[in-house]
Amino acid sequence: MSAFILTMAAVATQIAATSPGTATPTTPPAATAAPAATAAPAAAATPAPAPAATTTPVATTAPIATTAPVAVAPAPPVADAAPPPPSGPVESRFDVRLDLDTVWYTKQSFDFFASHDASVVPGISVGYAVFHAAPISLVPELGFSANSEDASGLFGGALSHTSIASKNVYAGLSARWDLLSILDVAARISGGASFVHAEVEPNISSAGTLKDDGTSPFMTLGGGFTVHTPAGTFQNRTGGFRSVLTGLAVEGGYVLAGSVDLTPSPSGDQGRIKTTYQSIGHLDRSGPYIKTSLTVRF
Amino acid sequence: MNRTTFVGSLLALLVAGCGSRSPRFDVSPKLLDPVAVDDHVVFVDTGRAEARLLDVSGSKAPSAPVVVPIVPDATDVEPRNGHADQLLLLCAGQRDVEGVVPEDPGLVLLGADGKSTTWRYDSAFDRMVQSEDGRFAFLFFDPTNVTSDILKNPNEVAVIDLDAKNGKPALKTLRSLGQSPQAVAFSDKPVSIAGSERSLAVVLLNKDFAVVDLSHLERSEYTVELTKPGASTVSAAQVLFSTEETPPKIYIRAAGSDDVFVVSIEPQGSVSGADTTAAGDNDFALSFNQFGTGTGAAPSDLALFDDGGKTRLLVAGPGNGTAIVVDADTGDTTSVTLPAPASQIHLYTGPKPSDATPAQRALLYTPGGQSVVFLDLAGFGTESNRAGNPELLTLSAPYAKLQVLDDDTVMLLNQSNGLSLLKLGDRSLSPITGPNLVNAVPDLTVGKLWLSPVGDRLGYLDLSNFHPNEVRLDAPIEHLVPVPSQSKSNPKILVTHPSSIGSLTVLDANDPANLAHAYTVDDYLFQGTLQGASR
Repeated sequence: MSAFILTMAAVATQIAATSPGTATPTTPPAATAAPAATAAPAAAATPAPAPAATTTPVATTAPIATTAPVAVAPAPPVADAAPPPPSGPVESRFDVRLDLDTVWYTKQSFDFFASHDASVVPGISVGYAVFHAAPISLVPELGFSANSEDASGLFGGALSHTSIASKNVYAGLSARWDLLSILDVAARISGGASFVHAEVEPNISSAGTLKDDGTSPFMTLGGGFTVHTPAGTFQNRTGGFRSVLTGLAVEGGYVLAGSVDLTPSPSGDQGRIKTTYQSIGHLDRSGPYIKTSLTVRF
Repeated sequence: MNRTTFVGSLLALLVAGCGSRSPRFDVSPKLLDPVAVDDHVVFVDTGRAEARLLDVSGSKAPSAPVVVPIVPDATDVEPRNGHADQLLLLCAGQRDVEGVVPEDPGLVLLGADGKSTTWRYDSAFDRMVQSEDGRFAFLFFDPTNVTSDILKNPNEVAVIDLDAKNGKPALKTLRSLGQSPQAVAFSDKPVSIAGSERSLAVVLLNKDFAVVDLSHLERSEYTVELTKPGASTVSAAQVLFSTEETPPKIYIRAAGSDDVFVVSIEPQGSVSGADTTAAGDNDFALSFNQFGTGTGAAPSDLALFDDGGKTRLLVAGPGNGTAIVVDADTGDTTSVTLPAPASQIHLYTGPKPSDATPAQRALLYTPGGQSVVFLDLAGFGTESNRAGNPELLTLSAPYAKLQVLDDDTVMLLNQSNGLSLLKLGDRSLSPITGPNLVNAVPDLTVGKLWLSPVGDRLGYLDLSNFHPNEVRLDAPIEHLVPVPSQSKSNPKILVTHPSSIGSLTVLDANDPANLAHAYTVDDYLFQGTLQGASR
């Protein structure tokens, strides 16, 4: 995971340097401010060249030039002249999250695979703000999460072990509203599919472990808030990383998912007589959730 | 709300939110032996208090069982007499223990269609006997079960009229001289008493027996003392009703006595001279007689036969190697010494090699012995048949069991291996060699003898031509269950396999070797378990 974070940080640096919405004066304006006659208006039009005016010889703009032609040499660039850091709102378009979803499967069917109702599902998602009109952003996202649960000794040991694993892919859309410089709230809707793999291991059976796979479409509807670092927290001297924000997001909502009918059966040779395995029922996949995320925006 | 209260409430909410597994996922299935009813096989799960009915009538596997909740702790399951589509389940209920909801005991009548009727009572009876026609169920305490720590009255019984709508169990305590019920026998047909038809039951007590009028349970029962005070114990062991006689009679064999006992059932007030017993407001009385069968006869079996319009009693007396015929009306007793002692009686009507005329005859045999004796019963003790013309037939090996196949054929299953087929008319034997067949299951509807299997092979003997065969299945066999089909579909033979989730194979009983007609069903014990189909 750390390697991933480092990689993402590098990408963030690169994107910050070229991001169209960031006020990052990266080139000293002195070289372009050399034409004397236009220097002053230019400095007034854009804040960036202002420091250059302090290094330009006064003589080049003095009215006495009208009495004697003076050879005007270009002003040498001043390398150590640091611009003041930019201020004001930032526009972080990318949103990368590490999620930890806790879903409460309150229906009894989940008890077949776990001794508790709450299932923790780690995941990752990436979003990009396609629309930004302060203070509102619309952020489509793509995400992936996975988890597994298991149980042992069910029905007095008749079932030695049961397990269920799910992989979830989804696409979502968040509407974000920047309330404060360190706080925003969001509403999110997403939809996707869970790919479920269930296993049942009877205590006594000539068939061995029984398995079944199923797919469950789902959608979520939730809302929450993100507490994040103020704009420019990670800004360097050159104004880089100004758009980088990190934060902690908490979201609550409900997963509305299709149930998965499970008919576990062995995967190997089934013998000479046709064997039918009966369905153990359908696994309910809906329930309320809380999503806790570490988020990085840039 | 102070801070501590707030934090506590929050923690409580979190704990509640985490949830825990439903207790039903921890209950272990405990299965009684599977039973067939109509086209279904029924698995009674005493642990989860449910019965699962699988319809195996079709040519394909059933998609799901019908799950019927029943009273907890079923201890006995029997097909209902005279009703091929119903089962009776005797259930002890749930005793009041911490953490479990108590539930009264009950008798459940379960139909093949999944419908059930439950009769509740508050004594956990553990023995059940049905009347021949399946109308009455007689419940009592198993006298051999002395391990229970539940306070109980061993003479308390319950009688349930299963045909009565909204009927309730009739509970009563039998009068006895310190004895408790051991067994119950019902009249196989209604007994005519003073112009009305009655169903009677004889309850065998240790040293006594009681006669109960099932048609008038509110009336007191008769209790008859078999053992005189100070004498050695005489306990009733076998009861035969003779409802065609006038007056109707009850014949009783007793262990510990060389006598047989005959009880005449006569309308109240019509009895004269005999030793009679009357009780309560009954409208009939009992006339009690006993007949000696010979010193040391030790009667072991009784059979009633018709001899020229008169009902007579045949008694097997293996103690002195005799057979005795008793005429209860005249008191005449005729005894004949057999060429070999015999303890059991099989009556039949048919010819014999020297006489093609069908007549009433008997085959007397002794499980564990190596011979059988034929006896002519028509006119027994008369000039024409003074001693029954006993005829001995010796087998090649000792047999353990006799199984009737048809009117003319019986099968003697050898104690060791194989069997012998005995044609009664020809008095001829045909040996069949093979494995031990003592536990073989005859299925006369398809003319097969299913072998008690070991391993994964189901053996069978075609009784039409006595051709042996076998079919190999995919898994070892645990139980064998013939399914008597009432529908137009082919009858099935069903075997279960060792499995904690349930596994069975259904074969065409007419053509078991054709595996294309067979199918296996797995996981029926947990079908629908995610949704809690059981309760």
